[in-house]
Amino acid sequence: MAEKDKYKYRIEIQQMMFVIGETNDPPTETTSLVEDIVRSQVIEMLLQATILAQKRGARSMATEDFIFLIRHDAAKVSRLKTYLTWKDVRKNAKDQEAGGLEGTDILENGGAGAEGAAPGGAPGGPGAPPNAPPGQAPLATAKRSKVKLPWELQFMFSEQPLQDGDDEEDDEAEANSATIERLKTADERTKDMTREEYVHWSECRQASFTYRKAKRFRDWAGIGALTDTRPHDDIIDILGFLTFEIIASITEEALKVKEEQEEVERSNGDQPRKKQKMSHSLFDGPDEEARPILACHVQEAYRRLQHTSAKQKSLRRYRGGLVKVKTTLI
Amino acid sequence: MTSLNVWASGRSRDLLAVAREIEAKDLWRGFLTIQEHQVVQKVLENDAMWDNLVEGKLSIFVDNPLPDPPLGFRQEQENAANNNLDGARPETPTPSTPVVSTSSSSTHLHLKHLQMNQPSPTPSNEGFQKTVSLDCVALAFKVRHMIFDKSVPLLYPNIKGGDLEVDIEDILAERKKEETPAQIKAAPVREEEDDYDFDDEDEGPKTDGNNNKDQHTDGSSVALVDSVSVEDRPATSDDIQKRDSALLARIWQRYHLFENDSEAMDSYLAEEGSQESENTGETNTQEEPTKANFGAANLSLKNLLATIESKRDKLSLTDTQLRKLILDVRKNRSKWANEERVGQEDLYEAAEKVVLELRGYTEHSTAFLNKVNKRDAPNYFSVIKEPMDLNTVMKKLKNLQYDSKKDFVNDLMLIWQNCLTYNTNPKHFLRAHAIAMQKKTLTLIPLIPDITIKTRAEADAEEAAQAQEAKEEEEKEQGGAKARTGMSIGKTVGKGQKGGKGQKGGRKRKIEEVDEDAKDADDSDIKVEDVSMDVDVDGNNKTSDDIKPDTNNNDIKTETKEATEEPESANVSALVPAGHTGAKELTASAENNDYGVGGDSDDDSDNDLEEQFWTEYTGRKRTLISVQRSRLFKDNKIQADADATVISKSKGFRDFLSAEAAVRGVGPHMEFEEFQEDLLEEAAEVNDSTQPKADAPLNIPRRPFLLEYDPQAGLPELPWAISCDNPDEGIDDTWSHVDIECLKNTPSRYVAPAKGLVSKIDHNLNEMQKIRKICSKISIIRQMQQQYLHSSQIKAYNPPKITDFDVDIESRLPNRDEYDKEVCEASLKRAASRIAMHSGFESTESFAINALTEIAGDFLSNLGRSMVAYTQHFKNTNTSKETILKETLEESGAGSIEGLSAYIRDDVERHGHKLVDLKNNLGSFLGDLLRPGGGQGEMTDQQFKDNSEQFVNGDFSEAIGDDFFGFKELGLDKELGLLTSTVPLHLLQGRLNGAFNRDNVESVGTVEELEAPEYDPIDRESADSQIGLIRPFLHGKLEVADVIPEGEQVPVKQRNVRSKLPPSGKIPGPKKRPASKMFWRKPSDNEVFA
Repeated sequence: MAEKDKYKYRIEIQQMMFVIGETNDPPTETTSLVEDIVRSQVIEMLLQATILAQKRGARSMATEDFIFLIRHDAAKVSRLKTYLTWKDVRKNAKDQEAGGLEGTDILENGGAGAEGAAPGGAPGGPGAPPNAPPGQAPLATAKRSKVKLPWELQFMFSEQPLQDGDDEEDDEAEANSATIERLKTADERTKDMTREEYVHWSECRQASFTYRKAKRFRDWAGIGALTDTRPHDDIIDILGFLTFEIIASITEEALKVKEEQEEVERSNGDQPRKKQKMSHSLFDGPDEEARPILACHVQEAYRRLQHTSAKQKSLRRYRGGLVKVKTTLI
Repeated sequence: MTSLNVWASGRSRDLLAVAREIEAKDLWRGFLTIQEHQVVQKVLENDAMWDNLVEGKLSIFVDNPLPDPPLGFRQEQENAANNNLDGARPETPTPSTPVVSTSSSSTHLHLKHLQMNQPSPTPSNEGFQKTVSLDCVALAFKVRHMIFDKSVPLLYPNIKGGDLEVDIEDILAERKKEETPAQIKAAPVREEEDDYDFDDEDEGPKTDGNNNKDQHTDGSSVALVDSVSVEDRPATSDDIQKRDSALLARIWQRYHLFENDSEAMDSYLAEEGSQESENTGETNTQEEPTKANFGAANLSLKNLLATIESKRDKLSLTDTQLRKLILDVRKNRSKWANEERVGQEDLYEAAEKVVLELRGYTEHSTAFLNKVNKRDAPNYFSVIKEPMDLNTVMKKLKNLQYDSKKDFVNDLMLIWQNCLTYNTNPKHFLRAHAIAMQKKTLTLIPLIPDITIKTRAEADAEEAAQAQEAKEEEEKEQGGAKARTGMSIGKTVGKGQKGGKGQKGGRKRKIEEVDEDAKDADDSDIKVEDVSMDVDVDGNNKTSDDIKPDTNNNDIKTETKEATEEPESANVSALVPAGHTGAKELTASAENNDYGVGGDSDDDSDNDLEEQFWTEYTGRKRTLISVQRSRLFKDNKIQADADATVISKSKGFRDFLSAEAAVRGVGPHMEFEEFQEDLLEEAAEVNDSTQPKADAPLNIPRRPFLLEYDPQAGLPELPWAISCDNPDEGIDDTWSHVDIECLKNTPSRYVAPAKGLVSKIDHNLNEMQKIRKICSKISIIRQMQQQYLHSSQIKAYNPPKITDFDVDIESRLPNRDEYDKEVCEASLKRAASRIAMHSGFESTESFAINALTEIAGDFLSNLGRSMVAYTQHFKNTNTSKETILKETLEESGAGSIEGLSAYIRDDVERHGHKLVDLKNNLGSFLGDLLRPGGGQGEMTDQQFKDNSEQFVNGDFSEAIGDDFFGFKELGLDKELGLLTSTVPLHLLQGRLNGAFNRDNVESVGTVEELEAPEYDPIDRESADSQIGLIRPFLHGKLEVADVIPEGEQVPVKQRNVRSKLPPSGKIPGPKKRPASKMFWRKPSDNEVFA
């Protein structure tokens, strides 16, 4: 039922798109399209993860499989790792007696971090500021569980040294650059917001497909049909994270497409429209030119994102024959 | 060529220069004997004498010549003989007076003597005494030959003979020098003496020559005392070696056709054929041929020989070895050997055997064992005049009373005949015995060699007579080649009685023939035997001289001396040279019958070292080669199945042949191979001491015997044909113009250059190997902590070092195909495995790595194709190469060039750094594991005070040297330090930890800390006792609770945690940390600063 389909995540999608940059309300068809895209991507991811798990010889898929799928994007990987860390913290915090304050603090921090990976990702955070009194032992010792990626360097060898922790700066520098870009744009956007706007903004930031909606998500994605084993909650969380990322990519791309289209229109189009209001005064009406992202933009965006790189095609050159391409994970 | 003019002009001065050069470089070795060399040395000092020598006008006398050393195998007497023959020379003044007399056209030359080595002939002789003369013409020819031989390299620059060449430059320079000063010096005028002699010596017309002294004809003699005294020196072994090696080097310069060897070949074949037929006929008469073949030793060795015959195939001995063995056996039993009486051994051996056999024929022999007793037979001695019995025969044998088989046989038959005579009654039992014995005797008699014993002298004399007869006979019989062959066989057989190399079972053959042959053959047989045993030179001389119809002394002496030389393997090679010489003499006699003396003059061939050497050196081989070639044309058809005569140089082919031989059970006729190997051995022996093996020119075996007969001669040579598997050994001549060293040192394109990406990857790989090593140690320690491991269970991790092997040298030659498919595949596979290793794999399945290689190959070929396509596409436009390259890369998915460099930077270099870090981490981790009680730097007082025993160790095992736990093997001993070879780690760790903790706790306990005193909680009562200022406060608090907790007593939740000021009292400002760059954002280009 079409209604039902679109219904499920419309709001979340809108919220997410708002966070990313789409100021206007996108029409229904846009969001429906985006939802479809996301669902197909999720299904694709699940399938590939299952295959990976099988090849590994494991019974069910694990977080490493998903990370493996997105391994080429270092920024995403690090964000995902951070997110997972926060998840642990959240869990631990919930177990604390002093659930309330600290927990919520941390939760909020965690939430913000999850969506945008606050700069306090490393120092801020896990378990309270550094000068926390030793009394709050549980928080201080909240462990920061690190996800071990089997393809990393130290796992080439049979023994791993004890974790030291401080040796990741180099790696994360690059990874963080994309994150910082995002943060900057976000910062710019929120620079001039009022308090209410900012609250709205931060609430939108917390939108997630899966946060406290795991069951609905499972049904929506049709996981039961895809895999035999019931995936972890962790996996659902990861998927939730990744869906956000997907929507982020699509929206960004669609915005670009929209820009370009409007450029073209402007250069081709009527001369009179060239006169633009460069400055916005207080009493201007709503910007008529600003249009929401249309379905066609999204489609174009999707097409672009599905572009197979030369790398994938290189071996099939000079050979002829039908080329089957699988869906690229965004 | 101007340099050839030195020879071409023929001026004796030029020749003299060359000769001096030769002398300086010691290149005369193969050309002149030592005596001749002495002469030439002398002459070289004097120009005038040289001129005469070269013209052949010099009289040369050698005083008391010493015999020349043998040509590798032989002594020689030819000089003496020659000198004897030639020395019809009137006496000269006593040798001690160094007078040189001159004549018109010739010059005397005296050489002082050293000693006489000849049996001194009569004093009043014609110059035998102490002086002999050498034929000047012959010497002149030799000298000229020697000189002109040096010009050959100039004519044929390709021929390798560098060592033997004479440096022309010097000679040319000298020549220029000489030309200016006056040519004519004061000619030493010599006194004339003994004019008439010179006429004899004068070989040619009196040529004018260049010298004035030639003008001096008889009469005008100017006396000049020109004393030269040279000692004829004995030949040293060094001389011999040098001469032999020089001769060996030039052995290939002889031209010889195999047709000349046809007779030798025939004889060889004949013998071989008869031997083969004999083998086939063996089954018929099992015993007799067996017995017949081995002569006197047969009777007792009967069984042995029969067994050997039947199991010949299984016997792994070669024929030669078998013969040697039997010889040894025979020799050891020769109690009958007697030098003086020729032939005694054989005869008596056989006779003894016969007698024993008869005696052992117990049925019938009893009556004949002893003398007839007079009492038994009263009138016996009146009837029988010559009583005989077996014992008597034995006694006579022991007393050496038999001189011939005939005598012996007569005696035996006499026994039976006596019996038959005395016992006339036909039914007499003794008659039956006698007849039986007679029959037995008749069967045994053929086994006795028909030898007549002669004393040495008689034997010699007889042989002389024999030779004469034979010679006459031969000269009469021209047509019957067979007869000749037969005779030569007889002769040759006689010569090589005890067997010869290459004659399979020839020994049998010979003896048989000996038996059948005439007596003279036997005689010769005997003599050679003796020859093999004793060293009487003279006798041998005469013997051999007499035997041979062809007075080719050299050859005869060849054989005999050969035989003398190696008595043990007596006539190992005696036969074949004999065979050869048989051929030669036949040839000679066939062709030069009239001359009677083989066409060569004795003198020349005697003095011709080359000829002698060549003859004896190659004789056998030539025969064999002829035989092999004849097989190709058997029955006047080309035999396709016959073995090839191409000399197979490659080791692989030889292996194949030997394998085939093993399969077929038949050895191929590998005469050529034997030839090669023989030459190799001999060349090696000769060359070893004189020249280093690296000198290619003397590496004779690689060249074919005769160019005409080499099937490959007409084909152009391959420039760098593969000669053998290991190019370091036995490098062919064809390799010499390849710079081997350069090839070896320049790595081929299949090895990565020293600097570059590959080296970085290799560095990373090495780091990974080290890390793995550490990991293995860690895992072993972990294992040991769980359970106790014996050192044998511990497997040390020792990965092989990663090296790149280059292709072999032959493949590096410039003419090799660089793009050979397999080599390229292998190279790519190596690269792919390197990358796989770099990613962390330690091993792969071959399928996987092959697939990876193929994929890589596909990718690269696609890359190439697109590059070609782009280049052609952009041909007309001026697109730069860089653009094309970029396009290609992007198209192929390789990314941009920046991407590639980023890969190198990140994935390789930084990876390497990370590896190093990881290694350090693991190392420290390992250290921690091993020294759980604290690191090395933590030697505090605590550790000592603990009373823990962590520093106590039992080092005794180290002193003993026992590595009980295998720590040394693991490589852990250095790391463990104080824990080496002591208590097992896990135990110790436990103890250590436990001890440490325990003691720590204790020690903490011992140190008294001041604690804050605990105060009683304030309650209402105590609140009042406080000072008045705070009372209200306290009371307020007390309203809520009964007790005011403080400090530690405050429940956790209510604690107001505030940071306490540190002792310094200062509030710490914000901690300054270096701002991490990771929080800076790179300013983007299109950013507009507001």
